[in-house]
Amino acid sequence: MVNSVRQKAIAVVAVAAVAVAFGCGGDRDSRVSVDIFGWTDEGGGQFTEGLPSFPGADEMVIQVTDPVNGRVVEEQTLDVNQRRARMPEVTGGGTRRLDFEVRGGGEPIATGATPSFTVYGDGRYHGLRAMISRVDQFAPVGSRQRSAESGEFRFAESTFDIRQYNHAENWSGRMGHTAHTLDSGRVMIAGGGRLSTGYEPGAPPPLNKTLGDIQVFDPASGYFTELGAYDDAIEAGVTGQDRLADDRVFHTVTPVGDDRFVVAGGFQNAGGEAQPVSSVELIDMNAQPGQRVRPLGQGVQLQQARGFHTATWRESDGTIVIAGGVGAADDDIIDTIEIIDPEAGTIDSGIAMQSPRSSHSAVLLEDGETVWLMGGKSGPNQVATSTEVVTSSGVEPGPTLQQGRYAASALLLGDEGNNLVAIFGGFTDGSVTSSYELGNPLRSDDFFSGAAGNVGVARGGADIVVLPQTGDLVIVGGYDAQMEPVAAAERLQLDPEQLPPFHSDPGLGEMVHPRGDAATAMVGNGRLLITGGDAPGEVERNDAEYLNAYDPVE
Amino acid sequence: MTRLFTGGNSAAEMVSAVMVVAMVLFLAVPAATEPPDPEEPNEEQQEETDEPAAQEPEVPPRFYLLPVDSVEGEVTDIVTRRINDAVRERFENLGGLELLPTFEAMQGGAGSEATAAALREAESQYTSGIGLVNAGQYQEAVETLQMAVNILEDNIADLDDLSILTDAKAHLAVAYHQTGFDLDARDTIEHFAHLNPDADLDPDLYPDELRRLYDEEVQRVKKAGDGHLNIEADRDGARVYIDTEYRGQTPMTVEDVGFGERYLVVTDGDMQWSGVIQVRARGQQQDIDVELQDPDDVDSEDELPGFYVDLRRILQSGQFDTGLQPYLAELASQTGADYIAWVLVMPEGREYGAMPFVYRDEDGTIMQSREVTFDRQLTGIRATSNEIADGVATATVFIPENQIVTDVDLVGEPDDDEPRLTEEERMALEEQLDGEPDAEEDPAEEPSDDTPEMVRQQDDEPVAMTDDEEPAEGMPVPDQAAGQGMGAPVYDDSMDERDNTMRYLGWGSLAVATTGAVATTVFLLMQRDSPAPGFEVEVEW
Repeated sequence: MVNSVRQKAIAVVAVAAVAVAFGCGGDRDSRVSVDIFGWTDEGGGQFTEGLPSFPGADEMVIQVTDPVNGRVVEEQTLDVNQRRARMPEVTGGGTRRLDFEVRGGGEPIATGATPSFTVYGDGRYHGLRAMISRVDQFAPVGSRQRSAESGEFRFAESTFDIRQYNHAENWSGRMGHTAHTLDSGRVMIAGGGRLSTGYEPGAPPPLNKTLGDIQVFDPASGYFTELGAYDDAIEAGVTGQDRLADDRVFHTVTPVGDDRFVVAGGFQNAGGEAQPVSSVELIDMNAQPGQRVRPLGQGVQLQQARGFHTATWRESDGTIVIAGGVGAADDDIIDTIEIIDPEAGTIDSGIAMQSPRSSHSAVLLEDGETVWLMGGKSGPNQVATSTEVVTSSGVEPGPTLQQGRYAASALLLGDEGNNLVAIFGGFTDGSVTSSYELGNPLRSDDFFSGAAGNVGVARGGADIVVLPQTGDLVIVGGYDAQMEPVAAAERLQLDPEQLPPFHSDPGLGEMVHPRGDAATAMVGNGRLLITGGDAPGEVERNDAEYLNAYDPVE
Repeated sequence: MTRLFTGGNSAAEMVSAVMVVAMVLFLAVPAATEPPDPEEPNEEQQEETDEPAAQEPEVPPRFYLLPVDSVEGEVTDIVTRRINDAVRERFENLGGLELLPTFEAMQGGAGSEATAAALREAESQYTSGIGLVNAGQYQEAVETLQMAVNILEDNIADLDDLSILTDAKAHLAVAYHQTGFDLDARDTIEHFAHLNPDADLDPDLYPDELRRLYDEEVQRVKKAGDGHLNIEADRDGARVYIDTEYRGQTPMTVEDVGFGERYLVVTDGDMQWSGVIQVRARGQQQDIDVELQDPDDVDSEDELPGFYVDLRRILQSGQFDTGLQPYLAELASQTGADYIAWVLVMPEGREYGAMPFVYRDEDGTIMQSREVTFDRQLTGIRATSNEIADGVATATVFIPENQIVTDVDLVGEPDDDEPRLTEEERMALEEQLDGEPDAEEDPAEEPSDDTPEMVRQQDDEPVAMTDDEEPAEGMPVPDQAAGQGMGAPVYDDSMDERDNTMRYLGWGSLAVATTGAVATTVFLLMQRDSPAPGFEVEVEW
């Protein structure tokens, strides 16, 4: 103790002296250094150290952007052959990102961006990495890895982290998982599973394996890291603990703010049979290592175990509306609603729906309270056209869809007081549809008033994402009528002055590996990340790819 | 407001303030140091992420778990089976180690339920293996696909078709070839050619060498023509399957079997024979005479190796010493295990005591982990079984010297003072556990109240095992959800020897520094209204 106190006293004096000396020093800007690598289609597709050679490219435009507020802070246009750039005095003070655009004849050929970052003028060095690839095309997600054969570092496809896996289960491929963007721009992937043959959306799946791990994708490194294997978990001696208590697939993960998520339902592998899950868990990314995943409450669980349900965050009262779904058998379609209160750790169960439905669509309207449930499967071979409107005071029938559909993609368009909802594609009775419908359940006379149209590709089970800068929609993934994964993506531009109001641009290319029941999320570098998924004729994938949908900050 | 530092700027002042505050906090509250936020990687983390650690897992230790047994058969199988299942489940979910299949499963055939589980495991391994081949992770693919092939071949009588097995063989050949095991690759692709001579091998997946070997073997198969098999069994009318295809009933002759290795299954009700036959073809006659067996007998003691049966008998006796090591070494050799664990259950009054052990093959050490108890209703069996598994798994990290045992005797004199279950209670318990009483259980074999007599370590001193015993440094912190309390910090008694003068000086310095740092921080934070900090950008492409 004597030595300890003496050392502390000396250390305090020394550090104070250094701090005073440092405080009298001069100005020190932070330094941001960017390492560029790329993906090119040449040679069957490969990663490159540095910028790939894009025929026709003549300019490199470098922008310092404020992606949150959608503005360009500073911009330089350089000869692409210059190969080096320096921007000496860039204004900081908030979230920043470096966007790169390779142009030819003034048109964008390829783009890339760093993850978002913040500098404090503390002289700190920020080493960042940006991957450049052709616009409106897919590319594998790459990271710098050491070759097992040569021992040299090179860029290669990133895969899910398997360090915590049982050695006999060293394959981390999955489908039916979830992906959500964290506040930091990283992406969190939860659960998932691997299926046997005979899978049909909306029915209990034939399971081979279900997973409970949580993987976090970091665009700064390109790595997936299992949450329970983060350095802080290792340091705290709690490696492997931050995972779901119940493995599950086709569950829901609902963001409830501040990087917290509620995980509900899904299916678990019980000897090859799908067993619906009733447990509800809370993921809190800001909690201490080893405590980031916990039950919602002691003994708190859904009254009816279910998968292929919907979970909608209701802003008005901070609850989650769990609706419909399917139980252990394909005719066990559920017709109840349960309300989860994440703060209180309670579930209000037994609220009756108008009709049973699974793999339906659910959208929160502009009032933050009304949830619109649309379509879905109402029986083993029955597709619903009905809709229903859920408010805190009860459940009412809604307008009827022109086309019965399940595993469709639906979202609220804008927030301009018109509560306009669009529902795209989906499975119909034995096929898939390319049609979409528009409506407002609160104005039944104005519902689906002939505004239906078609997108370019018929598909069910697709993901739909809104691009943050242009507001365009991107539809990606899903299955065709033969239940083969769809490779093509398409962009939808909304023009409310026209009927039909969406202009479809199918020019987004095709996935490197087509994936069904993949999980898609927007990454902090402005790209869509498509993870895992059911690959045609193969096993579930353990990797990911970017869709570089052109979405410049302007 | 008075500036504490002059001639500086806000950024530099902030750095100095933060340094002081950080130092004070570090010195004053050392135990409260927070681990880094995973969402805020520091430079070290960033540098580490440049290493491929996330992509290159270490090979975890391989754990073999013997079935949970009761000492001298004093606990009903229902209890040991349930504890066994719960402990295995925990092991399967523990990261950082590989739980090997049961010896019975490795031997093949353990009843229809076990077969179904084995086939599911095989399918899982198969899908993993295909994915690994596609991802170019060939070493892992070899291990995974070979395991799938082994399980499928061991359960060939229960396969409806060969598609998964043949595809696994083809991909296994690729994996062998890519990892330099050319002979294994050749054998495997040749067997694949026997089973599927009409395959179209994708050049993107199958290297030229493998496709050449395949083509040559296909030519050999075609050139050899069909074989002529006379198949008999010890029962007439038994159904004959070749490569899972039904061919007729014994005795029979098959004249259109292609050259090479074929899977033959002969089955009659519960009796069957299965194996690989080498068809010579070229029109040659081959006589095959098989003796049918009940597959459920395969895992009986008669069919299991003598050393394994003897090992379990010794363990069931509750008394063993270093003479056990050759048995354990043989089991480790046959299973590939780095560690072998076992749990012995015995009645203890109105509870069951469960004593876990683990053997480390590397040096022959046997560790006895802490005893746990279950009540007769097995309430909380999952948490308690987790405790067993977690305790045993710590052996992969560290075996405390005081837990090393060389002589174990779990059989002692019964304590007549301890309460016993009445026959009615026992029947009621078994009914509760298994739905109905165990009719075969001899009432005379009532659970005794024997308690462990002693456990000795290497120096023959009895080991004191108390509930509040702390784990040694370096042992992993167990699952908190399971309600365990290991891993508490250990304090150095010498810290009580204090020098007041230095203590006052130390804490006085801290107080002054803290006050100054807080004031500086407040001041500097107020200065943050100054123009936003700038930065410079360097890019190379």
